[in-house]
Amino acid sequence: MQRKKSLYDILICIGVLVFLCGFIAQLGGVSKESKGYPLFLIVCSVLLTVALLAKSIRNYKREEALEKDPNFVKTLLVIISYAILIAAYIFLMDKIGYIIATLLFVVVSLLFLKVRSIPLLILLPVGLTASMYFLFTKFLLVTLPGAAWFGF
Amino acid sequence: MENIILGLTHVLQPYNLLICAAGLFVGVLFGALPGFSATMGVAVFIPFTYVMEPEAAMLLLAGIYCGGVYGGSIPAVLIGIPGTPASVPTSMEGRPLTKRGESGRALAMVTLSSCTGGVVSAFALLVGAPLLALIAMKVGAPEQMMIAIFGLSVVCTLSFDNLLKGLLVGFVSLLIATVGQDPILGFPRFTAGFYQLTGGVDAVPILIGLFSLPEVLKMLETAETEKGDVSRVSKMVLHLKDITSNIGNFIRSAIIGVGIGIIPAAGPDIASFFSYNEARKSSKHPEEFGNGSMAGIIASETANNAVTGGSLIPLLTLGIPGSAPAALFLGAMIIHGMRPGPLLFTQNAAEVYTLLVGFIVINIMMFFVGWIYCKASGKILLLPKSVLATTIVVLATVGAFSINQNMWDVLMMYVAGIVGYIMVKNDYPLSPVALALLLGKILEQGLSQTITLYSGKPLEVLTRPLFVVFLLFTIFSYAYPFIKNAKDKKKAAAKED
Repeated sequence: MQRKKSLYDILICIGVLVFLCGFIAQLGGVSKESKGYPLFLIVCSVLLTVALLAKSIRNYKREEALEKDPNFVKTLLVIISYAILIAAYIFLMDKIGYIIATLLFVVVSLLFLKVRSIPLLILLPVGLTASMYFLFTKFLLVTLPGAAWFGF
Repeated sequence: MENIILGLTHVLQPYNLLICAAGLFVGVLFGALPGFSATMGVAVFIPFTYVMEPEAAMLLLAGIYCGGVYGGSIPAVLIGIPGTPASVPTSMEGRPLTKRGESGRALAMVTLSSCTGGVVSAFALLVGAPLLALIAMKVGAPEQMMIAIFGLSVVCTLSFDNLLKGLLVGFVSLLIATVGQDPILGFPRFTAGFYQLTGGVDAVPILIGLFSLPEVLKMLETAETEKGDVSRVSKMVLHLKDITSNIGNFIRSAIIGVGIGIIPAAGPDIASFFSYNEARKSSKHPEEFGNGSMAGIIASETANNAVTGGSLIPLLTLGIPGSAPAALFLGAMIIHGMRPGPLLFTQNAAEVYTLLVGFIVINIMMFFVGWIYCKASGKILLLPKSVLATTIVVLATVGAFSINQNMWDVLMMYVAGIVGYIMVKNDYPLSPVALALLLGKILEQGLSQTITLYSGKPLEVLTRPLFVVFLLFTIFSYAYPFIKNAKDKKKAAAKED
């Protein structure tokens, strides 16, 4: 399959249809009185998705393949890796606590983004973590996540 | 008049002026931080007012409220992340201006527009409160429903070039807004077994994710250039032409803001989208919208700050808190021995007129406080992308967590961010998500109450004058982009001939 702009729209439409199937599957559990409005929205969403899918398939046949970008795979890998890094930060936050998770994330993120300056690698993690901690916990009275793995 | 002078003398006392400034400094910070809002700021600081005199307490809360509504626009302009949902239209115009190296001009206009909207709303509160409160009395479920439908017409205008995608995003987002307890029986709906979804989908973490993570991921695409998009903070200057050519825009946006403010359940976010939409419709250069339009910034900022005074009108005159901040003000007033309602203006004249005059002074002071904040925060543009991206992720994560202090919101923020990035890369507009999530619940509640009220006699709803007015506006608003498009095509065809 050639890489064309419409290909992404086709994939998105399929994803949206699957997402809408999740809503349709749960419609049975919704009371009759409160089913009408969401049902209307589901029907409209399905119709619009099908219309967009049909349009994208038509465009796919007509349009030319996108120019080969030598950096495409590299950029995609960078973005996926960074998205995984953020996911890991979120996962670890309430396991090892806000302070350690944030310190770790900031250091790894800076290294990932090719920062090699030692002062920056020390000052930013400590400064950012501490300033956020004091701003949120002392000033805004928010209790930031503790370390569940360590029992506090 | 005597009461106004009395209020003015109270406000101009050095201690009270200091309180106003302190409230503004705190409020702007609350607004600028993703996940925080003016409402949260007012809520957090109510206990601090216990030990204050009633006048000072009201001024502090008013300062936080006004500053909070304004503050969300600073990160919206500088890094494209709206601090509050009301700043989403501002980010759509402010960010392109920042990329062009005109961040100072954008921030100056944001500050001026916010002050203008705030001052107009303060005068409306001072002069027209009793009259405007009568309008608020006429707003019921049918009108709220119609306002929500009217608000959704913004989707058509904003995504007219790609209507199919815009409508799809709007409808799917409206569907997502139905997750949680249904408004009729209160049973959980579409929760897929997740108890966290029983209370519904919170719009704020989704909006934080939607407007912050895509920006971060886009930065990574061009990570080779270490510096940010702009390596220079432009001067905060206002061009006279930007002001003189937008006088009508200022007036219209302020009226929209005050009007939306007095309507229960409608807030600054809805006002800013409404006003932005109207500005785009009446603009001679609609093509500039989305690419750094000053008119768009003026419309959004004037309207969202004009809501502040408007939202207090039903509270002060009728004792009805029509919005979350107004409900908090009600609580604070009761704590300080004031009972909002028709007798408030006679029984607590000193306190209430101090608040009313204070609103004007606070909104004027906001210009200077805002200027200081903009100058200081403008330095953010000098940060390298690596530092900026990392900081944004930490701020978005902690901000999303702080809303309800649970990790579920952070997860929602993350998922919204990834989906948002895919949407941005494939030309799906993000603003319909914000609109639909903010208006979806109001729409369904209004719809179900209207159906119950007028079951078997649907045409009787047309006997409500405000409903008919909103209905006509709605029809016009939906039809306008199509009519304009047809007209433009006709013009183009005539030119070709």
